[in-house]
Amino acid sequence: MRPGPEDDGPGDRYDADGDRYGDRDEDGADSGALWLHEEIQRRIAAGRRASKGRHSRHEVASSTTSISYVPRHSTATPGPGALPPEPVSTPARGLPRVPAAWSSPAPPARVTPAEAPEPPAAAVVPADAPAPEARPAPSPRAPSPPAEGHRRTMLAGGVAKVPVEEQGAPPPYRSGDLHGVRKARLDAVPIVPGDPDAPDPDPVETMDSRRVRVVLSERRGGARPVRTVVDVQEGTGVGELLRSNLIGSQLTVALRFAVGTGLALGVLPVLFAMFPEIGRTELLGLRLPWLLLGVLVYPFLVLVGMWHTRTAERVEQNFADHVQD
Amino acid sequence: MGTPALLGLLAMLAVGVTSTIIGMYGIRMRRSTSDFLVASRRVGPVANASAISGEYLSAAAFLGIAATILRDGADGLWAAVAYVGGYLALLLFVAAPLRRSGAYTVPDFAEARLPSPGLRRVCTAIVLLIGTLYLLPQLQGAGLVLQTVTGLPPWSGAVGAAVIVLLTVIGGGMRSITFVQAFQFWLKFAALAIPAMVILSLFMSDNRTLDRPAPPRFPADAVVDITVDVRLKTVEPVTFRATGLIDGEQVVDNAPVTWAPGEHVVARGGRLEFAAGSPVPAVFNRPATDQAWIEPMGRGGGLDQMLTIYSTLIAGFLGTMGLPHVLVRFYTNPDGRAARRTTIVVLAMIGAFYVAVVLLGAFSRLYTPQLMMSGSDAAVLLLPTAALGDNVLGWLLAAMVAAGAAAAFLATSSGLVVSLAGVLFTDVMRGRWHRFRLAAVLSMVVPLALAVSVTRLDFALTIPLVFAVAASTFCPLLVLGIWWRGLTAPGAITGVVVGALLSGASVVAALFTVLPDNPLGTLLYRPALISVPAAFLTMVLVSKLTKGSVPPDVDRTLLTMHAPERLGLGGDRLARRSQG
Repeated sequence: MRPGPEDDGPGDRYDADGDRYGDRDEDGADSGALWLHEEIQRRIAAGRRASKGRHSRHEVASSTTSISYVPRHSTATPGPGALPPEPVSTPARGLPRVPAAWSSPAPPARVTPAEAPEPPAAAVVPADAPAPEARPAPSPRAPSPPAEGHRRTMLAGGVAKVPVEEQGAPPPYRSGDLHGVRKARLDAVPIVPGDPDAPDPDPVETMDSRRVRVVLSERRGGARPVRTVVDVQEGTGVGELLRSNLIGSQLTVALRFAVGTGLALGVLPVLFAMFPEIGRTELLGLRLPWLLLGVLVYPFLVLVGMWHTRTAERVEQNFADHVQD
Repeated sequence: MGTPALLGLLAMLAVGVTSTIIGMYGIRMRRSTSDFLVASRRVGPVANASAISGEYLSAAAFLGIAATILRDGADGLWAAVAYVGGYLALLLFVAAPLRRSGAYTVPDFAEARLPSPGLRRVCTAIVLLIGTLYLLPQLQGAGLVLQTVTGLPPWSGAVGAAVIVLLTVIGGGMRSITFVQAFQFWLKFAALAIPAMVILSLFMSDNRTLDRPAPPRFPADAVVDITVDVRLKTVEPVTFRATGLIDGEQVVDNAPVTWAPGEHVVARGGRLEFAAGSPVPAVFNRPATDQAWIEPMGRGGGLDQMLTIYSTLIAGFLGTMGLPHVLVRFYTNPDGRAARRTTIVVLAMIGAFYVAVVLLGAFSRLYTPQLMMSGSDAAVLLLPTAALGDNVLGWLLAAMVAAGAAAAFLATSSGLVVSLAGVLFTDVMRGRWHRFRLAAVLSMVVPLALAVSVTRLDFALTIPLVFAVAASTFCPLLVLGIWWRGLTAPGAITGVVVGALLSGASVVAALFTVLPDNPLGTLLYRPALISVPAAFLTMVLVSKLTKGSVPPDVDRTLLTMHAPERLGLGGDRLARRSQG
C-alpha cells in the first residue's frame, strides 16, 4: 500500500492533539499510587548506579552537579545539513516521541521473530525524531552558543533531528545509520553521580554540549523528548514496572466494569424466571421488563461506558505522570 | 403498481441516488491511498460515530429484532440489548488499544501482535467468512424490502443493492463511505423514530391494550403464505380456508379447515386464508396469548429459554468486536482517546435507535399480528399502513420506513464490502490501489450469488449466527492479544480454528437441517455459549504449551497498545508502511 505523494495524512492532526495533551499535562495533578512512585524512584536510583547508560533527558538537563562532566561544545560541530539552532529559552513542550513500534510493519515474510528484537526499534527512533524535551530556562551563567544548541524539529519537509551529545568520541554516524543514531541516544546520557533526586542548580550546561543531527523521517508532527520513556521502552526495571502496572490496572478496570455490567444484566433473566410478579409489575405505564430492557438499559450502558472511559483515562494519566515526573 | 408501492420505490431510489452522489462527491476529496482506505483520519468523532452506527445498524438486524419482539415479546428484548451491549464490550476491552495498535483489519492486528504468516492467513480466511455470512442476509434483506414494498421479485432488490454499493465503494473509497454512512444513520434514525412516534401517539389515543389473556386477532381478512415448514400452535379453535399440505394431509381448493387447540404443522408452500377476527395461531414454542407475550419467560422459563437468552447475550456482547466492518472504523479515529469517545457516542446513538425499533416491534403485535405466523421480518415495513390505514399518511410513513431500510442495507453492505475488499486487496491481491476496485467487485460476487440462489431464512436465525462466529474467533484473539502477553501464534491459530469449527458447524446445522427442540438444538442455533469459552480455553492452553514462541518484543507491542499517545510510545502502522 503506497500512498501518493500528497499523503499528508495523520501528521498535522497528531501534532495538534499532542499540543493539547501537553497543555493538559500541566494541570493534571493526579499523584497515583504512592508505593509505585517510591518503587520507581528506588529503581531509577538503582539503575543509575548499576549503569550510567540510560535515563531521562530531564535528568540530563538537571544533572550539572556532576563535577566530572566537561562540556565539549567547543568541539561540537553541527551535523551535515544541520539547521541553525533555536534559542534555548523555548518553553518546554510535552514529551518526546520515542515510539515503541510494531516489530513487524512489513509483510510477514520479511520479519522473523528471531531477527526481530532490535532492528525494528532502532529503525523507528529516527523515524519519529524526538526533539529535546525539558528545555531549561535560560541561565545567565551558561548562555548557549547558537551553533551548539538544539532545536525542535518541526520542519515541514519531514526533517527531524536527534540530539547527539559529544561526550567522548562520537561514533561515526552516517545519516541513515539507524543503529548509530540509536546508540547516540544512549551515549548522550551523562554520568550522574550521587543522589538522582538532588535538586539541580544549573540545568543548562548539559544542553550546550549537544549537537544537532538531521535525520530524514516520515512526516509526523509532535516529536517531543523525554526521559523515563526510554526506560519504559527498553524494558529496564523501571519501565517494566510501569508497563505491567499500566496494563494490569487497565485490565482490572475493564474486568471490573465488565463483570459489574454482566452481573447487572445477567441476573435479570433469572429474576424474571424466579419471580414472575416482576413481569406483571407496572411502572410508568410500562411493564417492568419492558421499561428495563426496552428503555433504561441503553442510558445505563452509556453511563457505564462514560464511567469506564473516565477511569481508564485516569489510569493513563497516572502512567504518564510517572513516566514524565 | 399502486401509489403506495410507487412512493416506496421512489423513496428507496432517492436514498440510493443520494448515497451515490455523496460517494461521488467524495472522489474530489480523495487524494491518496490512505484517504481512500481509511479516510485520512480526519473524520470528527460525531461524524465517525454516526458512520459507525450507520454501518452497524443493518436492515437485517433491526428488521430481525422487530420480528423477534413481535414473536417473542419481552424475551425478544434481549436481542436488542445484546447488539447494543457489544459496543460496551468493545469499549472496555478493545477500542483504545486497537486504535493504538494501528491495525486496520484483524489480520493486521494479528500480524502486528504475533508475527506469523500462518495466523494472518487464518484471520484473512475468517474475515472473508464472516463478511460473506453477514453480506448474505443484507442482500436478501434488500430483496425482501423491495418485494414487500413493490412486489418486485427478491433477486432484483439484491442485485440493485449490490450495484449501488459497488458504485459508492468504487467511486469514493472510505472517506466518501464515511459521509454516506453518517448520512444514512440519521436517515435511518428519522425513518424509524418518526413512524414510531406517530404510531405511539395513535396508540395512546386509541385505548387499545396489548395486555389480554387471549391470542391476537386478525384485524382484517388475511392471506398467509407459508415459505418454510412451520409448526404452529393455537389456544383457541380456529377455522380458515387453506391450500397445501396441512397436518400431513393435502388440502386443495381453499377447503375450510378447523384446528382444535394444540399444535399443527403446515408444509412449505401452504396458503391459509383467515377471516377478520379469527385468533392468530402462533409459531410453536412462542407465546400464543398476549399476556404470555408481554411477560418475560413466556415459555415458562425453561432451560431452553435461558440458554437462548444467555447465548444471544454472549454472541452479541463479544461478537460485535469481531465484525470486520466495525473494526475498520476504529482506525479512522485520530487516537485511542478519540476511539473511546466515539464508542460512547455510538452506544448512545444505537441505543436510541433500538428504542424506536422496540416500539415498532411491540406495535406490530397489535396492528400486524398475522405476521406472527410467517414473514415476521416484514413487520416494520407493513406496520405504518396497518396502523394508520390505507391513506396518504400511511403511505408516506411506509415509504419513509422503506427508505430507512434501504439506507440500512446499503450502509452495512458498503461497510462490509470496503472491509472485505481491503482484506482481499492487502492479503490476497497485494496490489496497488486501482485494483481495489477489482477487490470490491470480487468481494460482492459470492454473497450476491448466494443471495439470489439460497432461500432466505429469518434474520432472527441468521444474524445471531454471524455474531456467534465472530465472537468465537476474533473476540478471543483480540482480547487475549491485547491483554495477555503469553499469547503465542500457535495458540492463537488453534483457538481461532476451534472457534470457527464449532460455530461454523452450528451455522451449517442451523441453515441446512431442522434442529430438534431440546437444549442441544437450542445450542446449535445459538452456539456462542459453548464455542466462545472453548475458543478462549484452547487459545490459553495451547499458548501455555508453546511458551517458547512468545514473541521477544511482546512487551513493547503491548506498551504501544496501552500507553497514551502523548507519551510518544505508539507506532503508526500506515505511516510506517508508507516508508517502505
